[in-house]
Amino acid sequence: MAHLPENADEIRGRVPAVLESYAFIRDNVLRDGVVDPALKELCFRYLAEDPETTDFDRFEGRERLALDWAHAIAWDADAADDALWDRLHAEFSEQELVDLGCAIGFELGQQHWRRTVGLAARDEPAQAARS
Amino acid sequence: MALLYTSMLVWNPEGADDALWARLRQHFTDEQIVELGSFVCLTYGQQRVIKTWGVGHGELLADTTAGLAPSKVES
Repeated sequence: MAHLPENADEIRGRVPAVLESYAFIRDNVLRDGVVDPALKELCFRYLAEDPETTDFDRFEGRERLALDWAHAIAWDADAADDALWDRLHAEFSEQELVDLGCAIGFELGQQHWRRTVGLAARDEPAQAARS
Repeated sequence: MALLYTSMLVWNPEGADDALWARLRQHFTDEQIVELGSFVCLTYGQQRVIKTWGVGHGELLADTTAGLAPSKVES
């Protein structure tokens, strides 16, 4: 049960600066930016432990790399070793790496915040489209 | 309480049960809880990314006031 009533944006809206800050990040980094939003969405689903994303062998190329990095960011920073960075630099520009990495970090933090206030890590797709 | 709340936000979100929330509300308003939690999680997420960059505290923008604790950078 949620410890604060209402949905995530209504909770954020109790402090207008919090909602305004989140909305800026959502609109400019989480849903936009220089990296394909679908690739970011895949990483966000992995952070939320979507079972369809946990078998990395199903993915290749940029998707596999993005998931490997998302795993390192969320759970094992040591996995971001020179070999992973060589692969990341081979597939992504530095601008893309900044955009993707920061998006993963923002989303990771938001999912932890949502779970702490008693919400699911992510909204259902229909809810997310409305918020 | 702020540190306990931070610990829950970072390491054990589902552990923030009714008892913890009751204690939080003894010290903070709901608005303060929202703001502090948002700040902690924003910082946590970015720190996790920075950790994979292999950048230590003060190694970037050390000659500016960017960051949360310029006094720590200077010391």
